Amino acid sequence: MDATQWLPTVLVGVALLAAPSALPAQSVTGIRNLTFGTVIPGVPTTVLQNDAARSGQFRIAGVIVRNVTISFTLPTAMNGPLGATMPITFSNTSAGFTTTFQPNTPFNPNTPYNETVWFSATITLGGRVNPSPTQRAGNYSANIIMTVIFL
Amino acid sequence: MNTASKLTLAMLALTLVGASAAQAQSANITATATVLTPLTLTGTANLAFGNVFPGINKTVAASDAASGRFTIAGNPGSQVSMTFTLPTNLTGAGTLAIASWTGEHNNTNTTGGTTFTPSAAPTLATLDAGTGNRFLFIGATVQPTVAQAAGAYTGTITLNVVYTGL
Repeated sequence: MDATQWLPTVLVGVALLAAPSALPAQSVTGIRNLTFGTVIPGVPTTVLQNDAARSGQFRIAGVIVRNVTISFTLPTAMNGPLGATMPITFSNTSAGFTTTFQPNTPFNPNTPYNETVWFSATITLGGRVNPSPTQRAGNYSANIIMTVIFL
Repeated sequence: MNTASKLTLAMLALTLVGASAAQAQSANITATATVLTPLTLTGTANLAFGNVFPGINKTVAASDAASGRFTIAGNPGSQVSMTFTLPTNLTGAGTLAIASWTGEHNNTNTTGGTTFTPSAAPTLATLDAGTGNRFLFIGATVQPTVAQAAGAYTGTITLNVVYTGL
């Protein structure tokens, strides 16, 4: 084998070695809130995880290839005016994982989820609110935390 | 696998291993929702036919002072769907047929406005953009027979209202 055959391959390897220092640090970012919009008392409202406008969205970036464990701290109620609360639930398909080479894959946000991130990943989150017929009017909100363990 | 390929894989593996120290990172988002004002329905006046003579139909128009009345209160400007459960007879010392239902609804709490036929089929209305109110007025005709037994007769008119989401 002469140098014209193996040199390009070695150069690719060297480039891969150099890549980590050129990438930004791995990061986990909240991109978009989970937005239920207007909710009618007594009428449950669901947002699907693949809803392009209303689903919550997180992003993992700054890696080449990395096994990760994704977990959520999910609320059971949203907080509203004058101490009012509204139940919120998440089903076993309320989250979705998308990474390079892999289309959206639904998963259960209620339990830790193991995946491999290639370069970056987008995690989407839907849910369901269950207002009572006498639900107090007003704005409700709740905090959602996604934790990623880079293995 | 040739030597160059092995070398490349080895270097890639070194890259991956070098980046594999386990660590956790978190991020937050917020779930948000806006709940509309719950609907409140109030029956504010009975549909009162007063004295009725056997064999003579009597009509109370929706615009009459004796019409039945409801008030709906909810989120200003929202659309609602109204359905009725109506009696076909009043009951008392026998039964007294009631039919030919009429209705009006508006935002001003005076008779007049949009006419409609109360029924089990939905009627749409929009709550007042300022107050969130809608007022309904109901009329009908009772049809006593010539041998209608004397006495008081009553029946229940039920209104059901839900938001349409618009």
